[in-house]
Amino acid sequence: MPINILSLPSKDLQYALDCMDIGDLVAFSLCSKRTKNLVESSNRQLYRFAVLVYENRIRFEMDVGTIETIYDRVFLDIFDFYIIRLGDRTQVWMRQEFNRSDWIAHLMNIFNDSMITFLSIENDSLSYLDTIKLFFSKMSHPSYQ
Amino acid sequence: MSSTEQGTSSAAPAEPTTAPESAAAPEVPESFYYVHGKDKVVHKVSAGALQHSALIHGMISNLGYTEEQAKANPFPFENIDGDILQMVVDWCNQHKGKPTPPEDTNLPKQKEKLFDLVLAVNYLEIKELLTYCCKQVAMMVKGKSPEEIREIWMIPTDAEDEAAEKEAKKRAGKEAAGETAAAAGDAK
Repeated sequence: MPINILSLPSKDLQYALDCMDIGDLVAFSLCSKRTKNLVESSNRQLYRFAVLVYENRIRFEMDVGTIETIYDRVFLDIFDFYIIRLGDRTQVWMRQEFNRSDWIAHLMNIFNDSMITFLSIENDSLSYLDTIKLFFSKMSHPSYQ
Repeated sequence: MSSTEQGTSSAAPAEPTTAPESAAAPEVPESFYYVHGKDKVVHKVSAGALQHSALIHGMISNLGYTEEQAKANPFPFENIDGDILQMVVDWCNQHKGKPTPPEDTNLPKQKEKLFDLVLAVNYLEIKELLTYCCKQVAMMVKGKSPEEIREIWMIPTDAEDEAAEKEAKKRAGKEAAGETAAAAGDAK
């Protein structure tokens, strides 16, 4: 039997969100506008936020933890209309109305306070430039390749 | 005394001639309190176990009940199901005076019970148990897709949220209009 998580007292709901893995939190944020706002307001901090721009996809690598202990890591490959969560159980999450820029905007919004710590661009085609520009304002220091 | 104990005691420094202080001090009898849930079944719980609940602890401190008074007036928690209260009481008894472990495997696995437990524990202000329960809630969706999460946690779609919001606004408007009409009627 399902449970109605959104009817939990806000403090408990927030604590439950704090207990979730980053990948699960991203999946939760994609359920509705309300869940996206909840994740955004949970202010989850990433220790490492790397973006790698490839020929056909953009990879987000997100780590939570400290330099000594990375206790949660997620890899997301972003395409138009869908995103792939890589891991033990690789998943494809579809959003017909989303293009690559929408996915990126969504992820940057929910981890709003986290700065990109590493940017690698392996595709310099002009068609990509507008998308890539989204990252520059969120760079913690200019260490892109 | 067992052989192991004898061996240990021979190697240990000489025991003090006086009995340890804790053994000499008269034991303070533990006080008990009583609680009941929706089903009116009364549970006897020690003050030590009830320390976990900030709400009940506060009630006890403020009331200054004797054991007789406490027995005659169990704390009523009409908003908590009997089986859920039983779980809470069991947990408090199991963890009485002990440091709470990082994980607790004795929590209910049934989702609907877990949800009721979260609400009860939140009401009773049992911080450690609430932490375990919320972790358990988070574990329900571990590795799940957005569609699966939506189903497990009953998350409405944006369209459903918008429809509910419209409905709530309409209802609020009607209620406000009704109140205005009633106030106008009273004025006449």
